[in-house]
Amino acid sequence: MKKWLLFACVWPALCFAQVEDWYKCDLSRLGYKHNVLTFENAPNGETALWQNDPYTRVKGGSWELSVDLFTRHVYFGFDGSFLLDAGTRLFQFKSKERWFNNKEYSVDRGDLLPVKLAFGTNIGRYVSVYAGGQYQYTTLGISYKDNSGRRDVYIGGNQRGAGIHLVAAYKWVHLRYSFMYDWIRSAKTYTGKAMTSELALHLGAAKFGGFMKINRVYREMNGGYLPDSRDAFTRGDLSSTYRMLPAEYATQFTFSIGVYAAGLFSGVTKAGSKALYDTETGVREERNRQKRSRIEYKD
Amino acid sequence: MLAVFACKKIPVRTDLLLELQTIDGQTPSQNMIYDVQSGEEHTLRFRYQSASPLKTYRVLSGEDDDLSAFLLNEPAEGSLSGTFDFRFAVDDLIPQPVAGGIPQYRSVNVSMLDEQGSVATFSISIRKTE
Repeated sequence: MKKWLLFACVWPALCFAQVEDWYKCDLSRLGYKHNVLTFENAPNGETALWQNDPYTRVKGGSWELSVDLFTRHVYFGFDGSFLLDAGTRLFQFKSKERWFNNKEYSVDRGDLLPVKLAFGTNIGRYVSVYAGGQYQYTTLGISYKDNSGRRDVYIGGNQRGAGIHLVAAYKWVHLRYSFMYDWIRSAKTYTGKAMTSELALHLGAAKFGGFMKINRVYREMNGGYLPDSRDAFTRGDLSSTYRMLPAEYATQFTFSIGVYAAGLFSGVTKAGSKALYDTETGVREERNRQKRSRIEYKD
Repeated sequence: MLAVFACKKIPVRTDLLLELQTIDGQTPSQNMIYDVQSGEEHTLRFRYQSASPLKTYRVLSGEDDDLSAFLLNEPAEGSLSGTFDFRFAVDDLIPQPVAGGIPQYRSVNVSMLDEQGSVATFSISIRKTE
């Protein structure tokens, strides 16, 4: 009862009124992410045949693990969803069909640790604006296992660019809209661009609450006679023979929902690395034990 | 404006058409091997057509053996349609002599790309006999 009374007293202090109150809040998000990936697959020379249905839409769930940090003049964002996705994948049975890997196709999907850094300031009490850059290593592709006749798609490389971030806060609501324009580059010659818009809504108090995030990325890679240099293909996931490659198009839409809490990001990554460490240590100890017993047996 | 920009849709591409229109002014057969003899001269006329401007093209034999020196009127980058000629003296294109009745081959691969990212390719083999 005392705890509840204390909580009731402290509660108003946890609630916000303006953007300034969200500074230095650790908006660590953990939740479910719904993915909708759309690939353009019309084969060369047959686009007229496929014009009514040139797309493949792949849907499925994954994890959201990301963090946003704001101060008066700096915004930092980091997305570690890939860590949880990769971790989950390691513990899954390989033979079972998944939404991203089944009899029909296999989808490569890796947003390798997107990081955002921007600088700005607040305009009035409720709104602030930041502008800066971001980086991630992207892999997005689909390869077909059946004879559907669709063309395989590969998009990928170092993705970097500039972005603006608009933040609005009022009482328990914190809203961020980001628009980011990126250039993608792989093996020097394979280039493209990405346009990302992201809306993140946080609802709650200083240390915890709920969030909702919508992210949409449009990506295209330029076609061309690739690769231009003989050794280029060894550095990128490109064809080993010279070919006139078509342009590639894909969009990635994700909807995430879950909770945010201070320290959640570091907590989850620490727990993950500890689990890995424990497993590794266990394996090593087991191996040492076996080795010892074998030596003893020989003696 | 920003939202519209970011919600850009995947374009529906249209085919880039590339065909061998005539060989020495004659309508070609569907045969992908064209027989020639030493000392002759021939002209292959190609036609292309697209809904978006032509971005780049290559005329090669194999992967990186450039044959663009044999082009008479090169395809204009940025154009929507046109024709171009591939004119060759047989002994320039295939310098090796035909020995013992075994013919010599050289492939001609034309590939084109338009601004929308559609690709068209056309291959023909030139067979030199005595």
